[in-house]
Amino acid sequence: MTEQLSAGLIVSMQGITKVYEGQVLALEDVDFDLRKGEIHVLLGENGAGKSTLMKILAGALKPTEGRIFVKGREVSFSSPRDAYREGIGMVHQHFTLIPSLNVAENILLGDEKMDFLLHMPKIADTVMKFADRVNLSVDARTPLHTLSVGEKQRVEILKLLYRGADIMIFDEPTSVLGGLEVESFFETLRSLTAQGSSAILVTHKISEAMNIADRLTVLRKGKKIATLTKDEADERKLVELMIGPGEVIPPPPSAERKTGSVVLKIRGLQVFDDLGNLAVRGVNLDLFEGEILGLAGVEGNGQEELVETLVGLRKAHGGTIEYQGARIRNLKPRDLLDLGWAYIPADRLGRGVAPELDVMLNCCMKKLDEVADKFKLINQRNLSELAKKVISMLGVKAPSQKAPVKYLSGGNIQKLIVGREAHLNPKLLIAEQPTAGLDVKTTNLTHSILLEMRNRGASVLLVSTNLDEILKLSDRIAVIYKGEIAGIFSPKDDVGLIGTCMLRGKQG
Amino acid sequence: MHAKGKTRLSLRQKLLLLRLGTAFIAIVAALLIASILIVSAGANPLSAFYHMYVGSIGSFPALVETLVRATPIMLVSQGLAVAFRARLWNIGAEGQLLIGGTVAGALGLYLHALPQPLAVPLILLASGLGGAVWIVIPALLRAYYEVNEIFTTLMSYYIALYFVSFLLSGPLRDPVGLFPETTTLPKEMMLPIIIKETRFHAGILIPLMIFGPLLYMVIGRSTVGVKLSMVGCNPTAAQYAGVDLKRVTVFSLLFSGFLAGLAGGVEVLGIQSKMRLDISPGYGFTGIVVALLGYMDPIGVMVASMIMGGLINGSTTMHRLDRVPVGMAFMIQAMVVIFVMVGYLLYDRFSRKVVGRVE
Amino acid sequence: MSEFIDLLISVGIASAMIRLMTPLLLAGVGELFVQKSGVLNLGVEGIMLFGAFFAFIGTFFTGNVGYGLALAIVVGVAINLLFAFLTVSMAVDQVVTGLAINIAAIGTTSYLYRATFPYATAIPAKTETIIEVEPIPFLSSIPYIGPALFSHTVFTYAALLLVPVAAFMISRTSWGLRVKAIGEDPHVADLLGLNVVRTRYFILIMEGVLAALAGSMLSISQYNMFLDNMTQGRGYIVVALIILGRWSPINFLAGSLFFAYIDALQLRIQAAGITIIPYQFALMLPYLASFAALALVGRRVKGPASLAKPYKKVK
Repeated sequence: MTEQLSAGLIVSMQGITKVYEGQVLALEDVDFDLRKGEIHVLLGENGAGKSTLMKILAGALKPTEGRIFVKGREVSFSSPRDAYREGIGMVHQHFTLIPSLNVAENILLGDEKMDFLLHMPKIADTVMKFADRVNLSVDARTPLHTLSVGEKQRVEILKLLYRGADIMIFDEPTSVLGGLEVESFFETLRSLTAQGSSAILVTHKISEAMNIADRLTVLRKGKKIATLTKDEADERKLVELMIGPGEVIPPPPSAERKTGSVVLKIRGLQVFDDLGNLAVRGVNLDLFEGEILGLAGVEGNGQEELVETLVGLRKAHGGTIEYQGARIRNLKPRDLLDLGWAYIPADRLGRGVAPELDVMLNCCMKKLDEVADKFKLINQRNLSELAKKVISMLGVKAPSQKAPVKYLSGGNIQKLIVGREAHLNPKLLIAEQPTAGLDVKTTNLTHSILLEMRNRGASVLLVSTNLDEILKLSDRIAVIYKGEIAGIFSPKDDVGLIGTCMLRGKQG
Repeated sequence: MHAKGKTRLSLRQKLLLLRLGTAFIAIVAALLIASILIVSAGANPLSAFYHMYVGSIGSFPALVETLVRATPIMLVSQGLAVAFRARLWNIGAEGQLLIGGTVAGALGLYLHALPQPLAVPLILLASGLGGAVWIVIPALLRAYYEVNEIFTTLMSYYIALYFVSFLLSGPLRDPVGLFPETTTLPKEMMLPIIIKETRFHAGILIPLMIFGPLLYMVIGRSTVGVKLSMVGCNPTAAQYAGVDLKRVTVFSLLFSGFLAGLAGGVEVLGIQSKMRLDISPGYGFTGIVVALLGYMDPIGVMVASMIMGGLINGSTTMHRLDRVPVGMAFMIQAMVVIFVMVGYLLYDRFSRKVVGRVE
Repeated sequence: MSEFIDLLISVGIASAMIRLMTPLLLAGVGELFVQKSGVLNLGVEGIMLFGAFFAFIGTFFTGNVGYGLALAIVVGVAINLLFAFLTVSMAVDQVVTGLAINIAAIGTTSYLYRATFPYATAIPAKTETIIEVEPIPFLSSIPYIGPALFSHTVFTYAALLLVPVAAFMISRTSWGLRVKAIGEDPHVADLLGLNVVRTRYFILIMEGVLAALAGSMLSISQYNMFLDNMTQGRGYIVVALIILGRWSPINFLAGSLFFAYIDALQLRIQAAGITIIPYQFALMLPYLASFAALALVGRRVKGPASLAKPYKKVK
């Protein structure tokens, strides 16, 4: 394999096929390689197999078939540890950090050669010195959960470097970052590759890919479509490669908007997070009848706590919430139904479905009384009919209506939840990351559903870390920064302005 | 939406068969272990198992005795099936049963002024309420303060055990008896015998005719049953579907306590005619085994109770006729519960295959 | 009045307290690590009962406590390997499996006892030897403190030593750090290259050894015989004390001291022949105390983030 080395190939994956649990084909005969010192972008839609391919390279998954060569030698990884020994480290989309430990402990956790006895002050010192050397300064004694997302990502990178990784994989690294943070991340990345490291960046954002890549590889439905250099690629071509021919993207529905009165009025809302810090610090917000209000913000700025208060999972410490002129206090999750609200949670398995129950019951769980007679006995035919309606909203694919929901894929569970909540015909919808994990077609369908709902006169609070989605759908955009509403924007406003507000808060 | 191929069984039937199969495997495996022990005790397993058959369902009187044995187990496990569905682990049913039995033993002596058709149901109701009262504090602590009910119900079992022991050796003791037990109840206070010359008393019909059908409708057919399962597998999602978590918690734990208490009452008024500390050879714990073996299914627990009743009675016959050590019933229960876990494992493995997948 | 004080505080009660605390500490330290790694093993009760039984059997037939302890450990480890296979390898529900093991332990030991000693339900079989008390030279002759603290079996000293060792392991070693990470988030730990399954197996095996020893203390140290269900829920109490102590070894020690004191007190009330309090109420005391402690301190406890959640690696 010396010819590989001479060609500057530091990684070569050949004919990789992956079948999950013996059933789902995630990758089919994919080739991929990485040159020393380059940034190679792996591009594809959700579900194209990008993460799977990279998890295989990082040792977190075993390929069903295929060979992997690293630095000229064939390797076979049975754990991420083996990959680290070859200098391969991965920053996952969901950080592999333990919130209850501090920065130094988290960095240390990745190190298999750490001493049995830990002398924390000395270790913190070593870590900080190392961080300074690679220009990624941190305070090693800070508990992890107090860090911002950007800082957490820096800890992740530091962790890789501390373990001596020179091949770095980043899975959707910018999905949680604001615009400026993305720029500083890219700078870090460029300086690292300039020092001789090589990087693979997994993303579905084409503009970013064009910005940072030396070479690009496009995956679609588990197959490799093409590998191009940056000069060979342009945005249009990449879109075609990613989505494939003949896949028509329906245009977003017309934005006819009926402005109504204020439906939900939040004044001076204060909410504590789990650790007793004030996460929401006096939020004032109005939601009008017949509008989609986008709540934008970098993750961890209080939007989660705000939503949890609105859906009754968290108690407000101060302030008021008024709905249709009446004050609501001590909201409980089960009050939402009575109020005519619907909720699409980000944590779909934790809040959205009952995993052991079958598809039918999960479709109808919010309308049980409608499918039951006066003795509370369920009418199977009504149940099945209602379930069919919910399923057809977004085309949930299930082996059977009687199959437990836990056997459905994440995307299909999301479709079920969106369909079910939409079918409630709510007066108010709180949608958290409603299209996470959905393909382009279903994402567009979901967007149409949200717009239709608005056109009917319903109010939608759209919470998303995806600014593109917020810009596309919202009538107004509220930016939350450090637990306060830092600005209200129109989707026609300058994106840079909104981005700055997300990162810096109120201007002037 | 159809499963691939031309299969005649629906998915629901296939999953049911899978449950039956895994439960069956659990029992057979337990009996296999038992036969090894029978051999090692120097007995002939073939003869032993023949006598187990004779002693459990081999004759009409044996069958009746099996029903007698199964009755308290069935009541307890019916209650536990409801609580376990909501993943509420009442493991103190034995204590609730003792309290129920004590209430019956005591009340039976005071209510003899009332006519039998009034007194007996009243006493049984009271013994059920006694069992429910015994679990009120654990239920409220769980519902309102998230105190783990496993520990509180277990503690309350030991508290019940010593409390009842105190009552039987003190305030409620039969003044002329030799043992710590209540005075024998008059015949009018007992549950009437339905089949003459046997111990087939009216109490046997309670789990079969009242709670069996009731649970079949409630668990299998009604919104209440769905709500229980929702709470069991995702309490947060259940709340968004409008379920009152506290109410479900308190209701299902109290219901399980009520049925355990009732089991004690039925045992005293149907069989024992007095309250003693040893009216139950651990029915409260056997009920846990049975609820798990029956997959918390209304029909499943009834069938499993009768199987367990048969195994217990059959073991006694085995002991009498075949030098098989006394206590084989304990051993079989122990093995059944372990193999039920293995059965759960198999069910989980194969249900995924049976359901199949669509991408 | 002085009699009353003597009942509550004396060398005898202090010594009994330390003796009764020994099994709690042994089993508790094992279970503490198990829970830190994200596994809830209610089966600790069952392993203690198995331990009590097999230590008794081994000692009874060989006359040597060493063989008894060895047998108990072998069985204890075997049972926890079964638990580990079901819950760690196969992701069966931990709570249900633990309960199943406890029920199975009562049934199995009751049967085996009757099968081994057909007539022993009338006259219990007794071992001729038990674990010897080994007073620590010099220290044990200190008045008051000596007999209370320094006249116990080696297992008591070991158990007392185990608590600070456990605290040190958790907070000051890389192994403790890894265990914490695994208990907080096994998926992340797995991606970091930590071996979740192997670590949990290792800890469960350790717990098997410790819990079996804990059970042995009941049958061949505190007594010289075996009784049906002789653990009487102590395994559950150990788990409760860990939760009440918020997974801190030192808090757990404090909780165990409290429980052991109540236990020692109830023994003394019985022994003193105080007739105003029926002996059943004395027996009830430890359970009432645990119940009250749970009701007061056991509210909304947050443990290791992934405690009792089945974890299955995607392959």
